[in-house]
Amino acid sequence: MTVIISFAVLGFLLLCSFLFIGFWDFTAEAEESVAADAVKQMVKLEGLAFPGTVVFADDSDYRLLLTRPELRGTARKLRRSRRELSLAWIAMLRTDLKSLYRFRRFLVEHGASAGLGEELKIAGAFLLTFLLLEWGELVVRIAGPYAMRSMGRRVRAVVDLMSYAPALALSRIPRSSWPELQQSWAGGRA
Amino acid sequence: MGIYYDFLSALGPMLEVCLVWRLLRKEMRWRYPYLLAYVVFCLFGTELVLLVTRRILTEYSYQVIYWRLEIVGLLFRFAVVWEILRHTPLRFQMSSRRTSPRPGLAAGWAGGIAITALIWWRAYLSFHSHLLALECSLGLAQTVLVLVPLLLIRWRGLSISRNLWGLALGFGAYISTDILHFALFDISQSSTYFRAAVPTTFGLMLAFWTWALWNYAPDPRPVPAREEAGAEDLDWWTVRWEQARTAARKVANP
Repeated sequence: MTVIISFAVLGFLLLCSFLFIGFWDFTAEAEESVAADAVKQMVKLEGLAFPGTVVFADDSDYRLLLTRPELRGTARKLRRSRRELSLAWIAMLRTDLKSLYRFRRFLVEHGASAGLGEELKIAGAFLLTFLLLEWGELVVRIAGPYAMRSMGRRVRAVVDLMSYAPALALSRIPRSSWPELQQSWAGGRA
Repeated sequence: MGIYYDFLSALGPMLEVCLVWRLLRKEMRWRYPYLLAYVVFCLFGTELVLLVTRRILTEYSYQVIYWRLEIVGLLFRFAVVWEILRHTPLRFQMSSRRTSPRPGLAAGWAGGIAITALIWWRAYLSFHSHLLALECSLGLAQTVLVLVPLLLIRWRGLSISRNLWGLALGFGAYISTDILHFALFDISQSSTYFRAAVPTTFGLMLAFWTWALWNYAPDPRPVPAREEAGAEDLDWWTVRWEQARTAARKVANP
């Protein structure tokens, strides 16, 4: 009888152990870093690839030029060129965002299934990021490039974050099919 | 109670069909062959056979077939254990860090405990039925073989896919409950409770598996950090920009 009771107790303790393990979050939804890197290789993301975005919003050289009356014209030219560069960069980020969205749709069409809830959540996130870029462009047009001092970094971070949406979809496709997908995507764009 | 039994009889095959469908999808195909074999056995080898024999055979013959299939199913559960073990990231860790003896030691412990449970002869003397003793001792071995890798994964700070997590957790919880049920059944001999409890936990496990395996989630593997490249670019740019600023300052203040 002792053995049988010990089995019952062991069974109960093991059940508790598994239920306890159930509360630990040590699952990995996807190989995010691998898939995110793969997305950045497959999709041409010019805006995100540009590393010197912080420079646009730095106004120290502009202020330096303004201190000399004979260089104020140069300062205005510098500000104008920075403004154009900032707008061009925002346009590049917008193109990146569209490419990421199209690439995600392409992956879903090629077998990376996603639930309705996830689709809605991602569509909402893309829309919000798009609106954020529009807002950034408006700020630069009205207040100039130096108004983007802290905003520029955040806008870039948000667009970078959106590259995880197609990465999540890509991680649901076996890695052996990735080169074929890359070719198909590149072929479709050409 | 009859309606509940009918519900359980219908729920099991439905969930098994659902699981087979999910496991045969393009991205999941042949990723979990041992699990697929077990589910197919449960569907055709157990559910279908029992459904037919219940109608055409006597109660005694049905019971004999039920217990024989139960023993085959019990042995088949080692296929699920193997499926879990072959997908755990410990396999990669053990092959890449041969200098560390800990995972090997732990695996040895797990094997030792499993064998101890398997040959626990006293169980076969204590239980009224050898079949129940076999269910409990083999079930204990299977649970330990699943639990130890999960604990090791947690201890080493590794990650597993949602598919594997659900598979191991559902299986472990089901077998643990089975041990408890069979031990209680041997003590109380209450067939009503037994007939309701065992199919219910099995149905719960199938439902949990269906939920966990609904979408394909690949097993994570250790990847090298690649943040340094971005940091290098930024450093390069900062240095160049500082040089440009110094040059501009010299031009502005000759």
